[in-house]
Amino acid sequence: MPNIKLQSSDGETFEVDVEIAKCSVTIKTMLEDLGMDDEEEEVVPLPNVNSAILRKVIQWATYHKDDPPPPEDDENKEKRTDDISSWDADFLKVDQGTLFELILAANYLDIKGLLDVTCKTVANMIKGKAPEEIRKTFNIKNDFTASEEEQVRKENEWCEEK
Amino acid sequence: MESNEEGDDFVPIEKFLKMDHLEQYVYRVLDYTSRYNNSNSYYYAPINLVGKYAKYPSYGDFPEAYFLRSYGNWWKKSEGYQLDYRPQDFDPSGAEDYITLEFESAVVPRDIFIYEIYNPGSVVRIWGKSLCAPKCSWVLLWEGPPQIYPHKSRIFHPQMRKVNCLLNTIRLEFNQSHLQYHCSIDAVLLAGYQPSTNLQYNMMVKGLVDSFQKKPEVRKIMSDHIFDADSGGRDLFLNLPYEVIIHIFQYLDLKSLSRCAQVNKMWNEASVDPVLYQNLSLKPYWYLVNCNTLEYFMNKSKTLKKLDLSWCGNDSIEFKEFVAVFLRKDLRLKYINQWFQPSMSNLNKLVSLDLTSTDIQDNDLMTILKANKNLKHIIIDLCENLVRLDQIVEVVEKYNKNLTTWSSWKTSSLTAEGAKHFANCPHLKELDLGWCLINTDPGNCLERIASGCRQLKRLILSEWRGLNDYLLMPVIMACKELTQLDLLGIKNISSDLCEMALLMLPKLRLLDISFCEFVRQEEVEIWRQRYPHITIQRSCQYVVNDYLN
Repeated sequence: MPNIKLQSSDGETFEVDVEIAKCSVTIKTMLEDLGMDDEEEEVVPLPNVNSAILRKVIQWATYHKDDPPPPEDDENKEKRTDDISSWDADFLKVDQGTLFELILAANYLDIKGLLDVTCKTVANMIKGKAPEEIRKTFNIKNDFTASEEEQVRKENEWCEEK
Repeated sequence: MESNEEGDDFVPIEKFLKMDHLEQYVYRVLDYTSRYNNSNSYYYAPINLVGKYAKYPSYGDFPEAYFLRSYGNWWKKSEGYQLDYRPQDFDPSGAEDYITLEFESAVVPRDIFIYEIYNPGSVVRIWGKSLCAPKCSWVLLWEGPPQIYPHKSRIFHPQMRKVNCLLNTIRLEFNQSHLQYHCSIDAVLLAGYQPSTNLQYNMMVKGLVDSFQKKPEVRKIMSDHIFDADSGGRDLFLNLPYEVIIHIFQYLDLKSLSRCAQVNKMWNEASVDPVLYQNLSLKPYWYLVNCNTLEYFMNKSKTLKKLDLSWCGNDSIEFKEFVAVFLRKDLRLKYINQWFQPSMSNLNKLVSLDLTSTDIQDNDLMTILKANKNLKHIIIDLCENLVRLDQIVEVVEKYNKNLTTWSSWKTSSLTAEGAKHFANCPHLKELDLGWCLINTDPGNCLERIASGCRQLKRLILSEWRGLNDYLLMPVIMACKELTQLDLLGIKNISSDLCEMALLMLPKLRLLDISFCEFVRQEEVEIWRQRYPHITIQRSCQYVVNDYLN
């Protein structure tokens, strides 16, 4: 299997199996567009991903390298969040900073499977919480004025069980 | 939640008010989603739940009890089955049907006893409709997963949540998908405390006695994998592009989205993005949905494509009229049966039409069939106002070329002449004509259907009493795709024919030969051994003598 070198934003180089690297649509397109298939010594710079996150992304992609290709985005796409595999759940037991950086990296590198599972993890942190609990969990500032807040609360009153 | 829910400091009202203990059976059936009977028959009807049990402790298929129509996963595997429109809002208990029961006297509920006499284990939720202020609404009394239980009758007595509100209406929700055959309930007994004076009653209804109980926070457990990572003191959502926030929000159920809208301005903006509301299923929130809720969602769903309003607004005419007004004709709808209005005849993109148990008339149905040329699934079970079914089948033959599912179970105006026209629907895969040709001669209509509909996977011919081996043979010879064949109640069918079906239909997985009197039970047992991959249904009765009562 030919390898390829990926360089993180802080200058570290990772040697990865090309097939694993290609789970990133961004890298795959880059390789095809630039015709970099043959010359192994080329280094692909990834200025948006630091070495700690890139290491995690490669770990994830290596574990999932034999997964079937993700289904096309369509209406029947699985939207449930209780189907996260235990490996992924353990893999994502990280602090929020890392989790959100993984989301950004998955988004930038266009790795659908990783983006889905990280977003599902955040969705699970939101589900079932009251607004104030959500703010607390994610350290979010409430920028509503008192009257705006009351207005919004009223609009969304339907879901509060009576 | 209502303020009189069970909390740490919950005090049952009967401990501080002198009340009378009362046990009562069902007084009246108010509403239901599933029935097995025609409206002119009491056999298996919901009304059999009224009063004391009739058959318990006997076990089996008794027409004197209430029968639910569906069981198992056969329905979900069918061509016409539509996946949930919003899987984000899926119901972990998987409730498929409900029945609403009224009791004569309002009580504070403490115990409920459900007499299950055939295939028990399907009750997954119990609700009570509180009569007490400030908010008279549905209160969840019990919830649990569907149960596997041996084939015996039982009195199901779940531990109900203690509440201090008065109620005389109970709703049971069922999930029958794990059952091997129909489930049946003989009676429901509600026990609780009744106010002993009018003053007590009025105080309770006005909400004057429950104000000192603690308000609990009830939360659904979503998954084992919830892990609240530490934010490190920063709001990391500020770093995320808008489309990623939407990506996260698309996994949220409608209730969570409404909570997100209240977090801050940025979340509020993202949470109302129309892309999140293209498909709506309000069934999981039936107890919260009214005209205002619907209007709230309509305002968000400018690009609404699919709408499921099952179980919503069933007790409100106002709601049904409201729905009829805003429906756009290109919507895909699910379960429109429960609030069908003739004014909906302007719809033209229907793929699936389920009008079970409605009073739809021949002309209205024909108008809909002609306007919706892409219809694939037509379900008109128990539609007793349809008196010209033959003519309707001719319209289908002409206009609905893509028809794959037809179900007119217990809709009786079809004749053998009309049934022949199905032969010109070559895509037909599921044909449910159960109880359609009860007392008429089927002639050669099955031969015609068998030669025209080679793709048939499911064929239901329950109670076609004029049928015999000779008339059924063409089906077994030609329809090699058949997975499900229902011959319930066809008395003239021989063992030879059944064995032929088992042998010659390679894809057969379900054969119902209940009440086929010429087939002996010993033979069925042998077949079950010999064809273990085929489920052979045969309903049974184990009578227990009355002296036990």
